[in-house]
Amino acid sequence: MTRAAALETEEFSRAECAELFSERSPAFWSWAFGPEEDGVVARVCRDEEGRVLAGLAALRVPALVEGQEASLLQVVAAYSALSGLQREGRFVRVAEDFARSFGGTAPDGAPLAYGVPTRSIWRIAKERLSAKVMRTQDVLRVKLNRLQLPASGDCQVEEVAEFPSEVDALKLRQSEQSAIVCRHTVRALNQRFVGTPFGEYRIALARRAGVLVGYAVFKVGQTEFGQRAGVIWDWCVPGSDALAGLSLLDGLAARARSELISELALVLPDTQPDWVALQKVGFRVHGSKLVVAARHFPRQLTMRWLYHNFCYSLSDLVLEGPGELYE
Amino acid sequence: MSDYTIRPFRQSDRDSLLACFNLVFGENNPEFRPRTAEEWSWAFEQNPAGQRIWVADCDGEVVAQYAGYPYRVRCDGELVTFSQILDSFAHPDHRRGLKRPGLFVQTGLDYLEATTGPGKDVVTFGWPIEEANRLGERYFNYEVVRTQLLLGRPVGEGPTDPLGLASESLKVEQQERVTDEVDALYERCSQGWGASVIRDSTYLNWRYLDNPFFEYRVFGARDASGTLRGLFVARTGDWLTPDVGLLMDWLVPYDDHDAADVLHEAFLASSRADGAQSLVTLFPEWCHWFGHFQSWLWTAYPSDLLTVGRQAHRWDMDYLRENWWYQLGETDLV
Repeated sequence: MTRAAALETEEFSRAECAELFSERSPAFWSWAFGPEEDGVVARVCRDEEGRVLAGLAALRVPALVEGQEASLLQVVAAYSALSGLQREGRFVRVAEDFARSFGGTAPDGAPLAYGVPTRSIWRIAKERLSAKVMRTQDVLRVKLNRLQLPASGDCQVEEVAEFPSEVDALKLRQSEQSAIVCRHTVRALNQRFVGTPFGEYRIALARRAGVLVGYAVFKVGQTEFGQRAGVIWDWCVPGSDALAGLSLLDGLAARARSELISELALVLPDTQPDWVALQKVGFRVHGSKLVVAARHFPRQLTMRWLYHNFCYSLSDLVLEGPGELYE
Repeated sequence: MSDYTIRPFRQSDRDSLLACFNLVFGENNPEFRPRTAEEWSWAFEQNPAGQRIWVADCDGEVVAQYAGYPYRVRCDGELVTFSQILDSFAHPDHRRGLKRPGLFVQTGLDYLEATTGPGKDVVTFGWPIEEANRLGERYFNYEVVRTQLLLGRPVGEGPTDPLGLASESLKVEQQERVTDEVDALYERCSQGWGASVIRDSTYLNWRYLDNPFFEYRVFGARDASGTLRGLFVARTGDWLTPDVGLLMDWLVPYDDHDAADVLHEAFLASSRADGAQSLVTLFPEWCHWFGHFQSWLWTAYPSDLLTVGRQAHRWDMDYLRENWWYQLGETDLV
């Protein structure tokens, strides 16, 4: 039987992560760490010979929590070399060390670790790591021939190769309207969506009288029936600006039709005003396999509070896909 | 410190239990209407699936209860029971009894130990308020099955006589009693439902037509050959907003479009006749009707309801989330 030595706490390089969490590609880890090598936090458990037995890695996601700057931990990889109870024990040790090292109260610790766990990891996380369900996530989907935009929006929509600097102000407006929101900068958005290992994203901007009022990011995916779908990975229309939203949808639909895409799919928290508004123009709600789970560190960040207040897009939940969207 | 005995309910506990129930739930609630013996009897003596009550006794008085409604369920082809936890309480003077974890929690733990597991209730479930859910997660291993969506829509203008609605081949009728012919309908509907309360006449009559709390109405659609093609249960009342038409149960085969269309129109008509302004119902997202109702201009809304469950056999919450058919009728909320 292999005995585990003390938990390792050394800095993790992207090469080590690529070796350890081999379900994700080296290109993924290169992207995840980012240019300054600080985008990922990870913990591992090794045996006496230095072999890794279990590990856990998360992206640091800058966020605003009730107006205070914080980092959230989006768990993106979990690894265990063993099976059964041994596997569970090692993994729990790693996860607890991970929580002690990185969880806590902002600004020193991350107030929240969250993700969309696989079933096997979820079983351990809920039973032994105080993780809970924040939301069973549904998906808004619309067949393009059922999209009923009552009137054109009043904005100009353009597709761009990368995000312009004005997006920072737009994200700031969005963050003022949600108690907890991932605060992606222009730089982070460009890293996330431009030249990524996850495929080709299209970025659409909506401007009113030249002022940026919303954006959407979409990528071609495939539905459970093998049809081409335009999956909206990021949707940012602050202030429930209905006309800006309509303009964006109009632009996305035109682009989608030109690419023989049959439907659009969008993930939003059901507590966001857009969620009901989008149903009024033809989107329908579908179940999905996505369960958003979290572990909170400050006591007041309960799952119900997060359910009502955490504003996110699909790209804040999962990095690849969109298989999980479709049942 | 008081001595407590935690044990199954005995008939001689009834008056003491009711008095304590009314004291606890009437506390700081001016709208509370004391529960009557008749209502209690319907809930806990007449339930065709049995009785689930554990009490804490202190000097011959009931000072805490943990209780549920059992349901006969077909789960993965097996006949099993689920139970919905409800009406559970501890007398305010005794809540600190037994110290940690407290009398209420200990009564619940004894209940769950005795009534759940293989060959007993294989799932317990409920829709707890936030505080109760915190206790449930901490002490009873309750987990979220689903952050619950509701479907709603305005009633809109239209006919007000459900019995005047008919298609070419179907007539709508109101049923004073549900008869055994519903068995075949349930068999047709439940194809593809991994787990569901068995909607036979015994259950439906007890749950709705013998219910002393509310007046429910059952409507069916029958074809020229006399076959019952579909059925729904409704009532109008105040829930979330005033004057809501509540679609409690919808038992229509997913591929019977004629029956579905005529019964949906009948529900709208009966709700209009009752003065309803809006309509609410609940379907699990995986089922056909969740999507189909949206095509009938129902909108999915978030709610504060958490559907929670506790696994006591092999069916976990992931299974329930993707396979369990339940509706408003399974809740004690309406």
